Amino acid sequence: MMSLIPWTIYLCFAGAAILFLSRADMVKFHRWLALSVTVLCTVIALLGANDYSTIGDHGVITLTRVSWISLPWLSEHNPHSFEIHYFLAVDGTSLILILLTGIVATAGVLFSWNITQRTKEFFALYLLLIGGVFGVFMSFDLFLFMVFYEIAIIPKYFLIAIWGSTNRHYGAMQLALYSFVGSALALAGILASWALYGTFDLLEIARNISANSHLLFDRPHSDIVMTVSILLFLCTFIGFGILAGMWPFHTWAPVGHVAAPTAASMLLAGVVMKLGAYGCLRVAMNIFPLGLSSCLVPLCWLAIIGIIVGAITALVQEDFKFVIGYSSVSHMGWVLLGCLTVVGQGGAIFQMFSHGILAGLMFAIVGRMVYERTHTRDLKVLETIGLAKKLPFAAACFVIAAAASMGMPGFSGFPAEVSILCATLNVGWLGFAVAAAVSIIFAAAYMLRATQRAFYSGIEPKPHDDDHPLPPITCPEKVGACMLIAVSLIVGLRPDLLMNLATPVLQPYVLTASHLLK
Amino acid sequence: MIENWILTTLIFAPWVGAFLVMELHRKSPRIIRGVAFAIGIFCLACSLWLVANFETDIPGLQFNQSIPWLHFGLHRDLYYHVGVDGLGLIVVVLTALIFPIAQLASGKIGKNIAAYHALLLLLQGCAFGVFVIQDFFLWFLFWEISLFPSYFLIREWGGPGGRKAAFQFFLYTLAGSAFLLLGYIGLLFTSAGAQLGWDIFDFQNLSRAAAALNFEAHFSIESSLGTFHASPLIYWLMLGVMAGFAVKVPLFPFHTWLPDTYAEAPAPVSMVLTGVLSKMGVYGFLRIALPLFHWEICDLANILLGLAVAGAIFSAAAALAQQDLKRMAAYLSINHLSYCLIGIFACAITLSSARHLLPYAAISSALGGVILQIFSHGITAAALFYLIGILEERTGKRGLEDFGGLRAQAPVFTAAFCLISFASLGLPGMSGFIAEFLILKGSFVLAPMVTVGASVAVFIGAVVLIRVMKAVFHGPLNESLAGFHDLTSAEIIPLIPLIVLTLGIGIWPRLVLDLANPFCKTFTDILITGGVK
Repeated sequence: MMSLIPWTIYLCFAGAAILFLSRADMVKFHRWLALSVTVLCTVIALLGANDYSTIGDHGVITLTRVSWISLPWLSEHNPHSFEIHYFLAVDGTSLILILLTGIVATAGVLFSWNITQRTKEFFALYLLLIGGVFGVFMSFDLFLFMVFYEIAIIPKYFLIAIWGSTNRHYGAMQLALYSFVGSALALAGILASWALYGTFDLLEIARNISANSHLLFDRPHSDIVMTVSILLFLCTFIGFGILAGMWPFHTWAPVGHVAAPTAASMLLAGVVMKLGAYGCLRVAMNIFPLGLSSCLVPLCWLAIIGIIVGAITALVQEDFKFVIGYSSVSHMGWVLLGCLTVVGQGGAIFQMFSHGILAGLMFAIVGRMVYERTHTRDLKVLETIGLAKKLPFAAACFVIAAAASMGMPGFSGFPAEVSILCATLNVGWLGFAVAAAVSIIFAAAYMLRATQRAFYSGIEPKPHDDDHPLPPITCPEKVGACMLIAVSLIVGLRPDLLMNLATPVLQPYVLTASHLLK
Repeated sequence: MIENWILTTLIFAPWVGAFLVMELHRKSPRIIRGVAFAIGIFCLACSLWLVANFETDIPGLQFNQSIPWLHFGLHRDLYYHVGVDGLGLIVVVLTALIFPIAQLASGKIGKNIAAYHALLLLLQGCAFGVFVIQDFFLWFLFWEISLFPSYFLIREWGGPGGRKAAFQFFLYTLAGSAFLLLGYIGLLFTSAGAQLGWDIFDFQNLSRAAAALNFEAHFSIESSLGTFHASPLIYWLMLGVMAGFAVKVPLFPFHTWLPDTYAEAPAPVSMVLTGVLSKMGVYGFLRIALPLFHWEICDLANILLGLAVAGAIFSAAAALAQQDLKRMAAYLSINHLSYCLIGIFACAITLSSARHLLPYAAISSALGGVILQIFSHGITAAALFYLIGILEERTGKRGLEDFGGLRAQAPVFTAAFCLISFASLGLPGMSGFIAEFLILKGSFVLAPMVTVGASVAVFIGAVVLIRVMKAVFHGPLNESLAGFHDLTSAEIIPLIPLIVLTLGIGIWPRLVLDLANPFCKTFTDILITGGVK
């Protein structure tokens, strides 16, 4: 079953191609094709994850490795050979993220069932985006990684600019510019790593560094070496961090989320932000361990500021979607904090999964269930409608999503936050742990406020009864919401399923490097 | 077989019942109330079965059930582990008793009856979970989830300020819980965590953990001269863990959420909040904080006892100043729970000054008093809120000045109110007296000055209640109350078990103390030996 996993990429691209070639008026065909592709990808990911956990060998499993681009002339006056591989591989962590992508993508299709405008292009771009995301999570060659990374970013622009709502052109442009700046920085870092290690192969780079770890970590380095390695690390880390919504480079995220159509904002918060965090973890921290060692604490400050500022900003928003948008910034701060503790990488992966599911659910509720029916996201207006009475299903789903997102035990957010807190305490950052715990209170406050104002205000019967009922929740919406809630609940009650699958992404030498600090 | 599954049934029966009630939301209110009440009675029957089959001479947990739940490669598995000892049994019975009575008292709830009863049942399941689960993470799950039904009950069915009060209640309690979580998992990174690993999440191992922490403390006592001999981290962890419980009970000065919440909540919900939910905090102190941080609490005992006594005196004084009956009852609730905290903190003083006295009798007396006070306060406070709720429901008012002269108009009501007030202020022959007497007797040996302060608080509390009795029932009849009729038989029924128990325990305290004895005995041993056998 493992050999099927690359097919998630090919299926998505093939689906996108078929959609582009199909007739524009076959709306039903477009929907069902997109749904079947995403469901198939989810099933493949599930089978793969099952296989991986029965194998028991918790390493990187190579799926495909062929030479792709080779430039011998570049090697003539250069100690390194310039060779790029088409190198797909998975480990437990990639599988978790592939599974997350499959689930969120399936739910996204279900929540875009009502799209009638240019369905062909919509679902084609959608599948293209997902294919790119699958590719990123499987690439172990840095060049290939960047190729898929860009494939995932470009369709975003069109999805937002064409099908978006409020301020869509501004949002799309801001997102595209931020993303390109980020990937340019990351690309610079990756090219530098080629100059340093002579290969784009992540595993080879890791072997290279481990073999020379005594040279790297056991002796002091001159200032210039340290400065260069810090700059390179920061360049790559921030490059990826921009897409992860790292404070202070997060401003594109809420604006983009608000502008995007429902399915796109689900993917944006649920999956695309994870690309950035995954890049930080898999690439930046692994290839520049020397630079990492002196940046950990400053970056942690950024993560903590992101957590708290995101939460406080969410607390004062009047636009429902902005509340969720800023909560994403806050939750991604948790992911970065987990990554930066090194020992908390499992918790970070768990938080990525959890936030992917929950942000998807909340954007679905706000964007599809509420906005498409009331045509407003202004909490002041929603307050007067009394949504809990008119859309009880949406209200119930949002209460559950809010509980899960504020870290109630029994849902996926809790084990994630506990393991990140544990890791933060483990490395001795008591202050950061306390700050993170305080942010849980803010998270509860903004979630409660949003729930109260959007759903549970104005439900008392009014004197002048001019209520006209809203369209009822449709079946695809119910299926999608129940699926996401069920996943969050299963993972929350049996976190060991996911935790045991998550394999360390960071190489052992990263831990050594992070200890240099103390 | 029944022995193993009874506690699981107790936790999940109300939850299943909640879904059942939600399914019935189109049926008539009578059916909904009937089904909800039947489930409440079923739980009460289960808990009585527990009492009947409880072996009073066996220390430790009974009716155990342990099922592997989570498996993480390197670590010990986490279990779904339920069981009760004397302490657990008493709070379980209290929960099973208070909830059906609150359901009976909810007759006037008009809107959304199905949702109301479902939330109440959900809350009951959470309370049972907190009292019987013996492994930290699942325990914390029930502890946290209980916030949601309470939040919605206060918000949707409460008074005009219900929304604000519910929000405040939720955030305040959640803040406490966040620090509780942080403090508890922080233990993993102390000497206790190094020695016990994930065993530390099992509540049965807490005294072993305390011994390990104590070991760490003794290492540093030789290298430094300060009185605070443990490493400061342990004190921070202790404060974190205690924050969760201190907010829930509440311990002065973390009580500010309570008067608003109790006053705004509908009367049956106030009964549950004070009767059961505040006991979750006291239970947490006894089950977790005291065994685990016994030495640290001892070091800080003067401060903690000071806070508890201040809470007792200030809340009694604040109750005296209230014009609103519900707020007054809320402050009295703080006052009575402060005695529990005095007893608990006094028990921790086994190391310092009083050590040479071998305070075995004092500790077990204080512990017995605390447990009795838990039960007794649960009953009397619930009854007090019930009666005030009736006053509010009939007249729409609850100010002290709004009443007067009800004695002639409603003699049964007056009798019941006075009886409960006397029980609450600790008149001999009623349950409150024995409890407070035992606590003060124990704490007198351990911390004499505290006992003096607590006695003052008892006195002020008595003044408060007598003032209420005078204002509401005596004097000329307030003209707006001319149509006030006496309690109906439906209103009397819920009061009967409460009054019978108050009197019964007052006369024969062994009813409760016998159940608690093995727990008190082992617990005293642990406190005196410091967890090292």
